[in-house]
Amino acid sequence: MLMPEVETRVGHADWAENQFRGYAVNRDLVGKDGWASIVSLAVSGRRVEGNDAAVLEDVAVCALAADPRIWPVKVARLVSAFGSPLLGLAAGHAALEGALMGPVPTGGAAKMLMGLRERLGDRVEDPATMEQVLDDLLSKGRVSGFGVAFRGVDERVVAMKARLHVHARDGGVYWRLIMALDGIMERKKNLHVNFSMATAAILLDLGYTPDEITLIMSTYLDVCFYANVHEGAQQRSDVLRRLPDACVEYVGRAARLSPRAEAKRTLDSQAPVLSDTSYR
Amino acid sequence: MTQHGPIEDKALPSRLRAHVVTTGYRPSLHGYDVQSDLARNYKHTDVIFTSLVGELPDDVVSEAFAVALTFVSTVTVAEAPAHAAVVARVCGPRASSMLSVAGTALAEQTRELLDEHAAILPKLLVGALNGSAATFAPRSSDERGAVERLRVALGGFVRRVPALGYDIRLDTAIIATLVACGLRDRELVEVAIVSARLPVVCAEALAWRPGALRDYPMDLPRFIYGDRNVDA
Repeated sequence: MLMPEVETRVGHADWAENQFRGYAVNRDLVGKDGWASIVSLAVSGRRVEGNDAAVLEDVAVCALAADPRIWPVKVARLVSAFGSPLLGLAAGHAALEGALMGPVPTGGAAKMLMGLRERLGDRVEDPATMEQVLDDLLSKGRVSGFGVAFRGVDERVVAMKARLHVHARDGGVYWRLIMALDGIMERKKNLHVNFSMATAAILLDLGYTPDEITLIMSTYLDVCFYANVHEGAQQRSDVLRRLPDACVEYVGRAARLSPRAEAKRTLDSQAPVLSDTSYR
Repeated sequence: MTQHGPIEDKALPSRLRAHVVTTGYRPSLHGYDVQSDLARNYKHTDVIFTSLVGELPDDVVSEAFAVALTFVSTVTVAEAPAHAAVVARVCGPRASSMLSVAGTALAEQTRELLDEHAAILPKLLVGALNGSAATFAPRSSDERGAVERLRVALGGFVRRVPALGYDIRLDTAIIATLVACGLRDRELVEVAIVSARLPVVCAEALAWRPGALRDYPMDLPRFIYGDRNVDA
């Protein structure tokens, strides 16, 4: 039987050793790489160290928005209420595919920034050109990466801006680009850069692609899920498993009879007439 | 202690809206009493149809919908949803894990199928496949035979599915039938297909013993690791 083989660059189980992304785990990685580097290696095939690793870890810490009411986290919380943290985690992940928030828009913001930079070319520092390009984008619809639910400024961006300054990493092309866009969008729409856009810019400056950025962002957001599914599975909250009926407002169709039930009722109403016939 | 943050300080709805099912021990589905009416007068596929469309099917649509769901229900273990469910089953005993894996994989398999058909879905509504039919031609004479069996099973309903007048694939024919039944949005078609396939996929997985790791052909298909010691 001729069957295609599947190529993988991820891993192989050797005798007494595991291969991971081109490295022998025990020989090359253990004791040398931290979490940020392993995540980077997993997603992009690149190890990171020093200042790059510190920036990535700061992004991960800034991403800790774990309020269980935040929509995808709520999904994880509702499912984990039945006692399984891992299925809660799976549900939270499932809710993020194609969602308006989370890692997918971060990858989308990265694509948008790359396109914007390409359009700006060597005029990336020219405010007038940038405004012109942004006007063009706005005329075609909503520009993602700006604005955050229920608040004017994304506190995670504020924190990240300070950390980038500490690391002297706030001079990257994409970071400077979004800082310039932030000023223009504030003036035009009273909107500021959100965490998705900020993370996209930081990771683009570190050399990651939009697809890689989506997954790296996902690992950061996972921490919020882990905290919630662990607590959720331990609590097994009755009110999450089922809200009190009084909390539900039915707005659907009014009560009605099906055609078959209607027909039976008609037949039943005719029963006395039938009883007088020879069929009795 | 009163807590304040953007969520507490935002005016938000205080109740969760229900559009389909009423609460309590005597539920109604789109207004129909489930226990006294639907359970006594309709079959399960009618309830699925009503859930999705909001109205009960007439007798002709009821039969056609049941035929379409039956035709679309089978997924072999060679296909990723059943294969993945089997692996999940072998990994451990929790049915809910296996069900979650099966549901996720089926949803993705069906999404891909509907993505492939996205361009012709509006055409299926009016029945005109001119210019597109060749793209969705049967992949073998066996498949052509399967479509013919669908036509036979549908009987007179075939006249309501103009796409069945073309030489098309089985999955395209089934989607066309579901659309003709009244499932006018792709999301409805996706849910109908997954609901038909889920029990079959789970049955394939449940035939395996949890923990039967040695019975599972781990090296099928073969994976070739191609990045060894590149940078070491």
